[in-house]
Amino acid sequence: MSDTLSNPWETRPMPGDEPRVTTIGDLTLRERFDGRDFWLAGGHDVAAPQDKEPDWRRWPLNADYKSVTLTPLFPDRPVVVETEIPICLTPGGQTRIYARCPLWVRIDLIGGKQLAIEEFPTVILSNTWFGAFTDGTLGYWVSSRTRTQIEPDPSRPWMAICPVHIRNRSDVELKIERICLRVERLALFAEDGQLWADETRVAYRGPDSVSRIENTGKRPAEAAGSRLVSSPRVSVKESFTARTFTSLKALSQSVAQ
Amino acid sequence: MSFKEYFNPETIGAFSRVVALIFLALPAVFGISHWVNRRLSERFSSHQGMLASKTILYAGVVMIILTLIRELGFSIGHILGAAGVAGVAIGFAAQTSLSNFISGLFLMAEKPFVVGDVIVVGSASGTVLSIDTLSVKLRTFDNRMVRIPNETIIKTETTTATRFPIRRVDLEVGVAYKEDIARIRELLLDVAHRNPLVLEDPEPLVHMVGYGSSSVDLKFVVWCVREDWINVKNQMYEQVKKRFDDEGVEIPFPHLSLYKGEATAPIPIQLVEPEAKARKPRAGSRSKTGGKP
Repeated sequence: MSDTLSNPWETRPMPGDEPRVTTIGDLTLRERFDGRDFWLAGGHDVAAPQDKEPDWRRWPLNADYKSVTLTPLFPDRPVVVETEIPICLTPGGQTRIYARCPLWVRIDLIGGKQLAIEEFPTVILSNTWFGAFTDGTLGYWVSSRTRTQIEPDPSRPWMAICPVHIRNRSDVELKIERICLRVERLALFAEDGQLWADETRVAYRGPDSVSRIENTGKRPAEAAGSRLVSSPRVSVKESFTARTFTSLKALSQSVAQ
Repeated sequence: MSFKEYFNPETIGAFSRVVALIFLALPAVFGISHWVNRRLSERFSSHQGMLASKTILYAGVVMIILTLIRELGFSIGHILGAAGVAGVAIGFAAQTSLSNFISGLFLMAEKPFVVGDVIVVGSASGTVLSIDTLSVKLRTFDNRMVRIPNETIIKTETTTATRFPIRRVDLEVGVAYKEDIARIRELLLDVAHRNPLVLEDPEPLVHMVGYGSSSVDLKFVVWCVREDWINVKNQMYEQVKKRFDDEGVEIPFPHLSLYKGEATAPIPIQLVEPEAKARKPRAGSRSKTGGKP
């Protein structure tokens, strides 16, 4: 029994003794329930032979669970994404860009209470570093680039669109080649099969200062009729400051020495 | 003074206080020191926990000793005076220990590494278990303990491998002279991009190092977070070898030509038949051992 669901983010009945296979992005999820234990295996190896035994994990269930929900989540670390072409923002200028970000999936068992049992990335992302050699942020590298216009793509429900509004509040021109999105602070909203993040507002305050970042926590203007699907991993009540842009490949240029 | 006269209420009170200091205050100091170490290590870092706990322990023990001396009826001023004279003698006798002690203070102030760091000092390398008054204790990777005197660390070049969050992995790769270096560079960078532990930024690089005796030597550098360093190093060597095998890229090894000793052509070599074929008995041949046909 294999499913490549157009909308995997729905509640489904508990699987039977025969494994239920679901494909979301590069993730192949196998679930089975033998009446006593819930079995789960997730893998990303598309080249693995069909007869290879999955890496099962087993949860003995002490309560009565009726259904399974797959909940989309943002990755557990920031993502770094390149701009389609470098953006130059003059002092006082502003722009709105969009980034697509692959999501993670959380498996919840639903019964008298909800039991979150496991999380898997739908796509394995490479690590990347954002910041200086001595101090920075470990994040994931997203190969898709930011765009100034974007169309919903319900055929890839494991990708969320993140709107980012950037304002240059400094006296110097801001050249943006890469942007670090703190996605663990973003909520997810769904509309017509497309997942959207709440808007991130970034205020650049000069090369010697860190940017001020604000996550609105509200549905973005592009998806005004959307509903909340999942809350941020890290709840943010106020805006925060963090380094967000790189315009020079300083790290890469000095690695050979 | 008779025995009865000595044990008056005043001396009994002092004796009780001494007993209380030894059996209550001393364990309490050890207990508080241990508790502070555990709590601060959980909340901040092992290094900060250790520093705070040792400060409490040493200060507490010194105070208890001074109080004991006073309770026993000795004059602290006289003892300190005598200690000054004795200190000179002890100083000569314990030069090494004092040097280690002072070096330990410098180490704690300078903080070239903290508890939990991986360091290399001379031929010893391992994880720092503790920074003590006289020595630093390391746990080596094969699970032995190495004690390095603080003075040695101050005098010796010390490398802290885990100071910064990311590290570079340097891989030496040799390919045959016939290979196209641009293609090799593409293959190597592709291997790096396919490994999710390798950082995309700082980006992987391939440099040509020079012309080796039997290979074109390349330096392939990738970056990873410090915790993944050994994994990435192992994985990259394996993945490069596999990719080269798949793509038919030759990894050469030193070639050796044999000559007869004069300026002549190499010794002729004749390829023999495969072993299985060579062992197949020919028609009409006889077994030397005379075994059954």
